[in-house]
Amino acid sequence: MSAKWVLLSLLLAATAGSGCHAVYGPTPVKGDWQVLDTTHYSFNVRPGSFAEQNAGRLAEVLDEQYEATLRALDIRYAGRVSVFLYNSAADAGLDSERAGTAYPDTESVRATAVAPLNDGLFVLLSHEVNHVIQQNAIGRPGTSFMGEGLPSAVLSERFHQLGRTFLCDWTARRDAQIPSLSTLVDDDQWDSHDQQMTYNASASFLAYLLETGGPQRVKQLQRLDSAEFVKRFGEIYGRSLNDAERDWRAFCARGR
Amino acid sequence: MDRSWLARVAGNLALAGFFSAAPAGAQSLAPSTSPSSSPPVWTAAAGYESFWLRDVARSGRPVDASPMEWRGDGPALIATYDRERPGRVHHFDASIALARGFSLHSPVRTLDAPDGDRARRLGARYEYRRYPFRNVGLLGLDLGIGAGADVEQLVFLRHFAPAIDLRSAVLNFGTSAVIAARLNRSRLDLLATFGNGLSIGRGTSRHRGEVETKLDGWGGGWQTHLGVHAAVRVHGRTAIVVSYLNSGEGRFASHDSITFGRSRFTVGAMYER
Repeated sequence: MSAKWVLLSLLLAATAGSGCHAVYGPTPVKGDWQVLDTTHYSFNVRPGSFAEQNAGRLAEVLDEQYEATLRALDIRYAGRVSVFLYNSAADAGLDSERAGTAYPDTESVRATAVAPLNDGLFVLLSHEVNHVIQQNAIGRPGTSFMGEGLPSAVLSERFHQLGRTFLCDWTARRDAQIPSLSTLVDDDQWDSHDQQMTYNASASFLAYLLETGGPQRVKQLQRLDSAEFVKRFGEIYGRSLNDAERDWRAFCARGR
Repeated sequence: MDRSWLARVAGNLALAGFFSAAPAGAQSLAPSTSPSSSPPVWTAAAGYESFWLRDVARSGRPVDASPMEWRGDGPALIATYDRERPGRVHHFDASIALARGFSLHSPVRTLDAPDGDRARRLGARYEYRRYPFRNVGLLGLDLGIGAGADVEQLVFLRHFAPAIDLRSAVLNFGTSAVIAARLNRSRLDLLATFGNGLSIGRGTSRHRGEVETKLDGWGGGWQTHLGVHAAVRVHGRTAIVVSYLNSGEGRFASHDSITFGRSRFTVGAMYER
């Protein structure tokens, strides 16, 4: 085989192999769906699925969460969120049977919805729809700390017990294991910690800030990136992040 | 009728036409067997371009993109300049496209996006191709390889109820490897190109709700494009040109990853100076 043909074969393989996602489109959404509209959502469910059978209850929980998020942050948003509820992790292309992903730019959510119908499922879906509501209402986050913390910081406690009360109790119990917040606001260090730790700690701290200082200053933290977060936090709150962290840990240790 | 569907059908027909065409010649109006240089060729064309965008949660394969797609379309203009030396081509183009009439598409329904949603794309591209394989299998069929460089500015205007505006802009610089096939006949030139490469760019996002915030940052990603062009000589140095382009890009940045693409169908005139 001549060098020209070898060259052409290599180039063809390289270009074709790495370009298929663009030409044929990323992750097409397959299968049968049925659409159920609620006040704020369009639920896309598999016909005959667990999600379809429990759509009424899920709508009740998520419609309440939508209003609770607007109240907690004093924001105005009226978009309709399209929620795709899958039968399994394999069906959804997600990592576990309790997993979800939010897509704020297209006001949509993808999540698994499998039995049992419990607090874990309510929290998962509430967290994901809060990503959509919050990012579109106040802009995209500058850190993972805000991006993942704020959606759980405003969880309504009307239909489950995993909101701010739970988060504060969790903080008191895990105080010694929770890393310094100055490391959690650094995106380069965010992924070096356990995910449950980072999500709960950031949510607990932001819930504390909302409860003790209101939403206006919390919203100013949303766009800050890691490099400026600590400095700007001090300017916004008039005290350092370390001081606020100490007060938050003490607040939770006292049982709110 | 969905105009993006029409563009895809037209593109598929163009592709089918290229690969099923029996004997024919190359991209410039000069026959591929000519040993001498060809005069520069200018093309001006107009048509329309459909544009889509999905947000991305995971950029590894398979790309985890949103189940909803923000999609719109509108007019497109393109001007190209090609200069051919024996066995090699320098290609330049500049284009603009404006898209509106956006909607959010899911597999089962379409939701209208706010009327004010818009997208604008300005792009310029240079491509250098060589055709080391001449008359492959049949007279006039050449296979080539090349490299391209491009710059592209995209602006998206989004609106969210009740009164939230989002203006996102991306300035991308890209490079790509290209493979090409061309078929020259006396009155008909066909060309197909496929390019794939990397891009890097700066994005800015201005969000205006109850307060205004602005974020910017660098990101990188991939780009792929597939183009098919047919030129039919109608008189002397002029030809009618029909083109289809399908492209896709991914942009991955901190807390701001998207994938987007476009399909463009244009008709225009080619003039050989």
